[in-house]
Amino acid sequence: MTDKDIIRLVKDTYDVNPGVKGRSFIREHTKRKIHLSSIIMMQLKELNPLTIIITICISFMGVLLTFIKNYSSSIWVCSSIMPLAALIITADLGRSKRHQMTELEMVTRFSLRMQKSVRIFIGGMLGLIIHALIIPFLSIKSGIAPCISVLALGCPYLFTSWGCMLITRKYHNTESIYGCTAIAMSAAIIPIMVKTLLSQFNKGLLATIGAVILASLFVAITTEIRKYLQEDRNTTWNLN
Amino acid sequence: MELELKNITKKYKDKEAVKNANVTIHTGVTGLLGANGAGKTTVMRMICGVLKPTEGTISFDGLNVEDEMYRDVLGYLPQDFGYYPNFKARDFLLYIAALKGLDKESAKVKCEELLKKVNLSDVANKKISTFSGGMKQRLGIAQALINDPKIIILDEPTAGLDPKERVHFRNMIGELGKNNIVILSTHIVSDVEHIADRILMMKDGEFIYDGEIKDINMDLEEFYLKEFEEA
Ligand SMILES: Nc1ncnc2c1ncn2[C@@H]1O[C@H](COP(=O)(O)OP(=O)(O)O)[C@@H](O)[C@H]1O
Ligand SMILES: [Mg+2]
Repeated sequence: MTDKDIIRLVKDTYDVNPGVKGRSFIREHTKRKIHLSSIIMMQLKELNPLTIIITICISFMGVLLTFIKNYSSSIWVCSSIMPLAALIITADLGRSKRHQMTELEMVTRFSLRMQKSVRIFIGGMLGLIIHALIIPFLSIKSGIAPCISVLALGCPYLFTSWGCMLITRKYHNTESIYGCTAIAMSAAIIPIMVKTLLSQFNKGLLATIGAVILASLFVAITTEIRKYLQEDRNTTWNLN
Repeated sequence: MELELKNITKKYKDKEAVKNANVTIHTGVTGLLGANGAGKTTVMRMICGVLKPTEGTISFDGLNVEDEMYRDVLGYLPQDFGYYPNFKARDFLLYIAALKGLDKESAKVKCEELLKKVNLSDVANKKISTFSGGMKQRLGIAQALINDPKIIILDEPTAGLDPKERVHFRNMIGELGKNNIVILSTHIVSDVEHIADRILMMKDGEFIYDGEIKDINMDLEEFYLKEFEEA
C-alpha cells in the first residue's frame, strides 16, 4: 500500500457523511429553482405542431363520422384511424435520440428521465382526449355502448403505441419510422377484420377476447414505458 | 474542489474500455490526451454521470456524481451532439438554459453574453442546420457554459475549429481554468500544451501518465510519443 492509499483508506473510514461538503458547495454556487410546471410548459412548447394538428383532425373526423345518418360502420372507421394518432404521438417520444440530444439532455438539472416522463404524460393526455371526444358521440349518435367503443378504439391505439415504442427503443436511426408506419398500417386493418368476424362469431365472445387483448396491451405498454424511461444511462452509444 | 475517480472500470460487454482508474482532479485545466479508442470519451461520460461505471465511484467533494444536484455545477460538451431541426442558435441555448433550471431573465442575459463570447451573435437567429462544423462546435461550447459551471467537461472541443478559432478557444479555456475544474480531451498535443496545467495520458483504457505540465522538460509532442512507446 502506498501512502496515497493509506490516506484514502483513513479518509473513507472516518468520513461518516460523504457528500456533505459537495452539497453545501453546490448550494452556495447555484440558486436553481426547479418547478414541474415549467418543464411541462417547456415540453408542450417543444411538441411537434404536427402532433397537435393531427390529434385535433382525428378527433374531429371521428366525431364527424358519428353524424352520418344510418351509417353503421362509423365505429370501425374510427377504430381504423386511431393507429395514425398513436403513430404521431409516439413518434414524438423518441425525438431526443433521433436528434442526438440525449447526452445534452441527460446532464441538465431537469433530467432526461423527468423530461421523458413529462412527454409520456403529454402523449397519454392527447390519447385520452381523442378517446374522450369520440366515445360519447359514438354512444349518443350511433348508440354504441361505451365499453365496446373503448375496446374498438383502445386496442388498435394501444397496439400501435406499444409497437412504435418498442421499435424506436430498439432501433435508433430514422429508419425506425418506417417500422412504426408499418405497425400502424397493420393495426388499421385489424378493425376491418373484426367487422367481418362479427357476423360469424358470437359478439360476447369477441368482446371478451377484446377485453383480454386490451388488458394485455395495458401491461405491455406499461412495461415499455418503464423501459423507455430507464434506457438512457446504459445506452450503448453510437460509435463514430 | 476535487473530483475523484476511485477504482473506475468500464466494461462494454466483453471489452474493457477503462481499467481500474484512480485519479483526483483539482481546479485548473486538465488535458486528457490519447489516441482514438483510448477511452477518453468513456471516462468523460462517466464523470458527467451519463454512463454508469461497471465498478468504482466518481465523486465531487465527496458527493457522488449520480446525485442530481451535481448537475447544477456541471457543463458538458459531448463529442457528438445534435439539435432539434427547427432550432436557431439562440433557441438552442435558451432550451438548454431552461433545462438547466435558469430563470428566463438570467437565461436571456447569459445567452447573449455567450453568443458574443463564441462569436455567434450575428447568426443567433439563423438555423443551426445552416452552420459550419466550427460554428456548431462553438455553439456546443456556449451551451456547456450557460449555467456558470464549476466543472467543465469538454470532449474534443477543438474538433472542427479553424486555427483562428482555436486560439480564441484556448484563451477562453485558460480564463475558465482559473476558478473551475476544466477537463478537455484531445488527440492533438498542441491543443493542450499551452493551456493545460496538468496532463493525463490514456492508452487502451489505462492512465499511462499523470503529471503537471511544468514538470515536463521536453517538447510535449515528443514526450507524448515517448510515453506511448514505453507504455
Ligand atoms: N458503446 C460501446 N460499445 C462497445 N464498445 C465501445 C462502446 N463505446 C466505446 N467502446 C470502445 O471503448 C473504447 C474506448 O472508446 P472511447 O471512450 O470512445 O475512446 P476515445 O474517446 O478515446 O476515442 C474503444 O475501443 C471503443 O471501441
Ligand atoms: Mg472520444
